[in-house]
Amino acid sequence: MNLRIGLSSFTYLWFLLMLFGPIGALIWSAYGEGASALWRELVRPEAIFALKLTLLITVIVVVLNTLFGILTALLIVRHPFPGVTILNTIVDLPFAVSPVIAGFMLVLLYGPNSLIGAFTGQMGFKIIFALPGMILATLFVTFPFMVRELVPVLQEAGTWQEQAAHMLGAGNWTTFWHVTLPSIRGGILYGIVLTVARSLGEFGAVLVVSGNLIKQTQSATLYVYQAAADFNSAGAYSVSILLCTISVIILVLMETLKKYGEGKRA
Amino acid sequence: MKEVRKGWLSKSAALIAIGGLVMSVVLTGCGGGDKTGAANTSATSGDGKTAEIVLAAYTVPKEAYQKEIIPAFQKKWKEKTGQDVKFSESYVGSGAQAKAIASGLEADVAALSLEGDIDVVTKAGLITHDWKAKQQKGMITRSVVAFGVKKGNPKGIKDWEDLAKPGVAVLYPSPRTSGGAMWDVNAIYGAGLKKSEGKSGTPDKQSAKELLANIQKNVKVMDKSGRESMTTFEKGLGDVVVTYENELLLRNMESPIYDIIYPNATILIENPVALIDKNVDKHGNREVVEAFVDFLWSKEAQEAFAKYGFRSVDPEVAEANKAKFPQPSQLFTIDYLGGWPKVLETLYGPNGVWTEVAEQRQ
Amino acid sequence: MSIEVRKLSKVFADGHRAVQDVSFELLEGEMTAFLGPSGGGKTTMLRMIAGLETPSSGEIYLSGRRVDHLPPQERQIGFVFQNYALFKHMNVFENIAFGLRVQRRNSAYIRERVTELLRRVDLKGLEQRLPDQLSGGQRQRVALARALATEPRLLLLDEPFAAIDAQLRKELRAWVRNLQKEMGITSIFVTHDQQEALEIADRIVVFKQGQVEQLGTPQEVYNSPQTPFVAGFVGEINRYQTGVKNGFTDLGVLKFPIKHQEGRKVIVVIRPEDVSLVPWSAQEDIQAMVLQTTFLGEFFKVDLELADLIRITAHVPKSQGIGLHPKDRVALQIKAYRTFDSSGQLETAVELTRKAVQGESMFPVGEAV
Repeated sequence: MNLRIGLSSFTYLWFLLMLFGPIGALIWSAYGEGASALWRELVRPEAIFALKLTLLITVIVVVLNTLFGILTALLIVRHPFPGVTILNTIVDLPFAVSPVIAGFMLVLLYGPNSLIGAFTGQMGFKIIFALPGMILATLFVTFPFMVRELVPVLQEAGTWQEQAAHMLGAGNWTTFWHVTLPSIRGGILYGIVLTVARSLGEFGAVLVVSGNLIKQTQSATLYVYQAAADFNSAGAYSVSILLCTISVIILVLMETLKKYGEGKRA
Repeated sequence: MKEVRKGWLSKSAALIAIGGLVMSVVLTGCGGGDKTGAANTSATSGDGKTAEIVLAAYTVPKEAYQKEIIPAFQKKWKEKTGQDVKFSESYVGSGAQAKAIASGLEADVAALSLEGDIDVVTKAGLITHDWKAKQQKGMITRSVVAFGVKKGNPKGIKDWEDLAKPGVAVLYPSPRTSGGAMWDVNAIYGAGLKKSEGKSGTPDKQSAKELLANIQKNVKVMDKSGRESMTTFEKGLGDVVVTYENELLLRNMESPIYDIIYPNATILIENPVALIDKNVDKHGNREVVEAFVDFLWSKEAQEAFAKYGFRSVDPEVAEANKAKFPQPSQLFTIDYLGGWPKVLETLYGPNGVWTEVAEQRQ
Repeated sequence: MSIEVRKLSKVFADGHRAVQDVSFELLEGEMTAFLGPSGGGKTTMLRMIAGLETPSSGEIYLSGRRVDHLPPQERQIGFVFQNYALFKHMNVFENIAFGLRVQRRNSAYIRERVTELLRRVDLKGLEQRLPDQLSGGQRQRVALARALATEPRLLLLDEPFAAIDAQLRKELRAWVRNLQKEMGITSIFVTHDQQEALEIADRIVVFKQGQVEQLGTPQEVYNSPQTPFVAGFVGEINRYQTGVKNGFTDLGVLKFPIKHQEGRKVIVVIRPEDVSLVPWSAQEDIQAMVLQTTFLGEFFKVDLELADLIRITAHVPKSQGIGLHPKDRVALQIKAYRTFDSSGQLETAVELTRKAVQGESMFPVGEAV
């Protein structure tokens, strides 16, 4: 009994120190700046642009990540090919690589001085120092989340339900849509949550890849960094708190969606 | 009873997809025309109503540019040619900015902290003209390395030796991560040389190294940039922060925190600017960009720089602001230390003085 | 639907030969059991017929039509998996309706059919439940209903009762048997439980290491096993490997006449129920001493020792067994035995004093007993 009390106290303390404490301090300091100052900073065109940009990137990355994540997970688990273990390891690469290094890699690969970058440049389409590059960078760092969520779920589910569906006459697409997908929907949802959280907060890779052009390629986290460097506390606090709030809202939304999918409980 | 809503998956998938689509449209559409795309091929000055200039600078002069210099130039250019000028600005650390430009960030103007960073851009083949041939050898602002102490100077800091005294907590950024931080270390080393020269007639490298080592001993934390060192100081973690005078002046403009102490011997920092030929030719906006670069030496711009804590390169403006910018008695430049290439090797190279000092303390 | 497989083989990627050159025919409307030990190839065989495994060679015909190249979707076969494989995110109704929805039947028809099936499998009222809210037996019945919903012409069941406790298993298999007879649907089920196979199959195919040892009715397989393996797998046996000397088995007092195998090894197989105990007397050919008796409910299992330390087990009726104790002396009469040559081929099958072996009734017809 004492062990349980001890453990839960420790857990609460941990969360207090790691999570609530810093957020509380943030809110407290922001409060010290004054509500009008915070609001003024928040509605600055640069801030609004940065927030919109981050949200746009997040939405696009979530959609792409879900698609590719599902495909990759299916490939790894259900249709292994020679060399699939290499693919499995590559998926984890973003975890091993510092985001800043990842950013540099992308600049090397797709920058205007690279083969690909020069080619797309000819077509009038920029990757690095533009939105596509920022999306790529964010995709790179969030890719493992979806795949790593789905692979164990797929492995555990096994192919039994799909076999049953085939025996009942369902073709591949019908089986995928009505049997496979629903069986992994928990994993997908959680993968989305992780992707959103990471995309909102991604800094290092995006910093390198974007060029930090104000009101062009400056995302919300870059904006906060710049504001902090400018000693613009109100600006930094206001956008940070807004980012925090958005994350929480999206988290709550996802949980609600999950519960809705599972219906009412008796 | 548990129920599974029929078609739940398809409905939510559709919801997410539509929501995503709508958001993308909304976000891209209502940006008021702000580009989320590249800062690239823009209208040539003269044809069409808007000229564009991409300015890539280091972080420190951001306020000066954004609040005064750019608006002033836009006004002037409009009066002169009737054309609007749109600026795309990026402010990151000087070294990082140089790298970004070299990697393909299509900046028209590079306003950086060090000559060495401009060289990085030149080496990438992007600057083809002799930028040093311009006024003042291509430098637009100056500053000196100084000390920031608490109001009232409780520890009575006066000169470099005070920083080497036991019980004095010193802060400055690491030259490994902050290119500009090299100025600080150069100042210490050069001051050591000056002192020994004053005593014996010739500069003594050993005593300069000792001074550096002794001061380094008092450094508990080396932040990544000058700004961060100041933040650390303001949290109460140091007695004195070694940084550029203009940073301290700028900070004092926001809230008067620092007393600024000038040592007798310190280094003169000069910040360059250069037009980037390759990008300018690509954008076809040479005329307006040259005008902007030249504008930086105008009285108006120099006054703006001075306002934000930079020493002007214009003698008249410098004279007018003399009170704000004390003149250290033994001011030296990078040439006193042998010029940047030599300094990079002798101080920061694998067997450099700084490298050895830094490693010794580990 | 009748089933014919010709020279069917399956070799897996790791080289394991699951099925080797198997051919047989099954008749329409029959319930057939694939019986054998684990790894014998029976599940692989079932899955090949279903289309869930591709044969390495050979052909499969359903009602005379060649199907081994067709995907499972096109074979109109119902399959009940060992772990039921119910769709976890769908309720009972939707599970059963799945096949009908794939066929794009209209809602009214689906509702009618599913309701009817629920009634059939005795799960009325549980439409809205999710699989994880059902017991094992209930899930199994849902799996069955789901498989039958599309009116398949062949029903395959892969060890359907393996995960169910003993008592329920007996009830369920009888119930499945009745359902199958009622519907007249050709069915195959895989099992390693010989009791189960004997009880509900019309025909049994005995598998061993990828090959068919014997195909026959339960009676044929039990009473006339063609190999020692079948004899030992279906029912219990006393098994002896011995030589032949002077035309008789060299088995101590168990002297059975053997032709054609002089000097060679044979296998002698005697079922325990074919060993009957009689009071000891010096005139009896086979004298034995009781080692141990075990009460097994329906009968006694008696372990005996013969001269030359040969052991034998007998099943004796309760009334008789109750009076037996270790170290008692008795005599044995062997009512039937079979011998096989060293390659497992049947050599002799001897049944003594069994009138009903030809299917003749021992009771007069039409009279009350």
